[in-house]
Amino acid sequence: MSGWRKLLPVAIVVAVIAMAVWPRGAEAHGEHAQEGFLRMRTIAWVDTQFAGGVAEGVAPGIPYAAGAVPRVHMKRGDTLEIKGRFLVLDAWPAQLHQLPARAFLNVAAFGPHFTVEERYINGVFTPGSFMLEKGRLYEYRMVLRARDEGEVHVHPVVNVRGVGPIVGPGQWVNIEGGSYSNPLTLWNGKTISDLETFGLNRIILWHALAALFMVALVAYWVRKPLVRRSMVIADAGEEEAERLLLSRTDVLVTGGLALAAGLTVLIGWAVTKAQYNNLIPHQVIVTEPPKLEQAGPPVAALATQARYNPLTAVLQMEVTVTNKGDTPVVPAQFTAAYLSFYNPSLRPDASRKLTVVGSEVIAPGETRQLILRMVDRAWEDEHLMELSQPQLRAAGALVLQDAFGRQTMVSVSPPALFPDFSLQ
Amino acid sequence: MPVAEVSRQAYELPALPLVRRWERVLDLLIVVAFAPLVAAGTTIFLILAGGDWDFWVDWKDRTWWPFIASSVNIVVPAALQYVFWKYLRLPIGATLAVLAGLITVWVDRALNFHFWVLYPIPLVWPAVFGFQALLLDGILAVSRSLIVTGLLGALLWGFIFYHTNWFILAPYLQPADYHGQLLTVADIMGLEYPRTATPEYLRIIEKGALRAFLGETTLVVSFFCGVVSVAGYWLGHVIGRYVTNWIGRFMRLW
Repeated sequence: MSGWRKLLPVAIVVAVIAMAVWPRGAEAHGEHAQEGFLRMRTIAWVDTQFAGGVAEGVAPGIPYAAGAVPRVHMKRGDTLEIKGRFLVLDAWPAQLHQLPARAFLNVAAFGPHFTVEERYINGVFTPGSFMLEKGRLYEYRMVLRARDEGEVHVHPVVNVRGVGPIVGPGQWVNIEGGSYSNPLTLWNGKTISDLETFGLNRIILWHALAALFMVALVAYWVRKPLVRRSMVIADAGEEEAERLLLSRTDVLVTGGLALAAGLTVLIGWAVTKAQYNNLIPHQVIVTEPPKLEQAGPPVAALATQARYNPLTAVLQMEVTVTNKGDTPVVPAQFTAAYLSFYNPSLRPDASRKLTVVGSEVIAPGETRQLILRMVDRAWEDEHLMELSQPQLRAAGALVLQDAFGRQTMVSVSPPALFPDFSLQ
Repeated sequence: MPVAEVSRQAYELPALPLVRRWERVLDLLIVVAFAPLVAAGTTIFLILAGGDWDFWVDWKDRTWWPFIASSVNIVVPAALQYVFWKYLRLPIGATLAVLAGLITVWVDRALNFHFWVLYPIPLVWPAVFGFQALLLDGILAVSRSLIVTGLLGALLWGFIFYHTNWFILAPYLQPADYHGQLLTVADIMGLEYPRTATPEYLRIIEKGALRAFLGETTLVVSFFCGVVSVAGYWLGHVIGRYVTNWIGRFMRLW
């Protein structure tokens, strides 16, 4: 045997061991699956906050920004609240299904580790779908309850018809211990103790009865030789074979079992009719939340240019802002997809800073060109500024705030994104 | 001796114990070989053609669910009924198909939906088809006619589907005041247990104009399902005939 053939078994063993030992664990659930330019130009998730459980480094009862704490610990049965605002940008891509379209507020998590008990849009309980419109601001709140143990990355998500899920910022939650049940009070005042097992007895009973009848019929027929029957048919012909192979007893047994099955259905139907009345069919859920008016003074914004340096992760944007209100405003925050950058003069504790070059105050009636700078590796880590994509765009929501704390959110989308390796 | 007498004696002849044993082994081998195929065919057909309506309790409405489930799920039982009747004169084809499918569908719901993804069984219970399968086979045994079975049996199959499953479904149609909205228990379960890839707007329920007749939606839909099930039955026959012809030619049996 030549030299390399002798080494082949050794190589195979080494490769198998390397594959087993070398790779590190990996986990993902597709947050970065959508291109950055789509995530930025659809929905800006502003001020997403979680509340509930024990958040590492946060005092109990205090809400925390999504992703700001490494882990939240909770027990089964504990509640988790997710709330915030999202702006549907005017820069909604033309290649996506156009708005208005039906949308649904949901959570993205691996399986039903939580149950979603409440959904509110603009203060109205909105359990089902609603119409999503371009340029509108929505305020949402969801109340979840921890249901099953595990480590879960939870995101708020808006599913949009024809587009798919648009995912907000996520937070790791560790659910351990505790107990969970899902009671429900009916219209007639009766209470279902736990939806997790409601009706299970009837499901098992009915399926078992059906299976019993079927097994009885099959068991009756497979007592007899099977393959031999085909030989009789081939030999004697179908009509004659039928006379030979199907006896009166066979017909009576088969017909009798069928009749018994039919009677069982009839009895089951009648018993159920007597037990349950005042039922309603499945409901088509239509709730249209009211429009949310912006709290701050009216502002117009037009982004003229954006530059980005992938080496230093600096994004610089020129935005012309017109203050149409009667109080001065300053840029408070810029949010692209689910990344938020805060003005340090308003939020000194924020980890991601929005720097305004020059004076940031815009007087009433004034039009000013602002140069906004945002420096953070998150642009790269979140795959938002991918220069290898067919569209180089940046977009987001610019939040302007007056002296009273009232905010106005405007959609900002420069016509192009230029790579600029000189940006520092 | 007439041919029929030869055949009768051949069929009833007490074969040598060794022959009889190996004959039963052959029967068993054939069943074991084809049972998974039949089970897979029934289940995959249902999942692909009518999946969501069978997966979730909040999709089990009184219009689309009976229409899709009954007309889709008759195809494989009808194909098997044809094969078993034509080549073995056994009126158990539909029952076998549904029984095999029942095993796989419960394995799927219990292992995949419940133990793996953690959905509760009351949310994901499969529909019952066993009673209809028995009726279909019973009508074939009594009438000894595939045409009568295809018309009367298939009509009954579709007509009684919703009423067959009423025993399980009814408790989930009780109304509840859910934060000011009147919803059924099934609706609430669908909203509370999140399905990230199945948003609420995808749910196709209570759509269509069938309720325009008489105001009695369930009866009208049931009759319509029966009619469509007749078409599904004959589609199953065509598939059964085509598959067996192909197998026979492939194995040079005929």
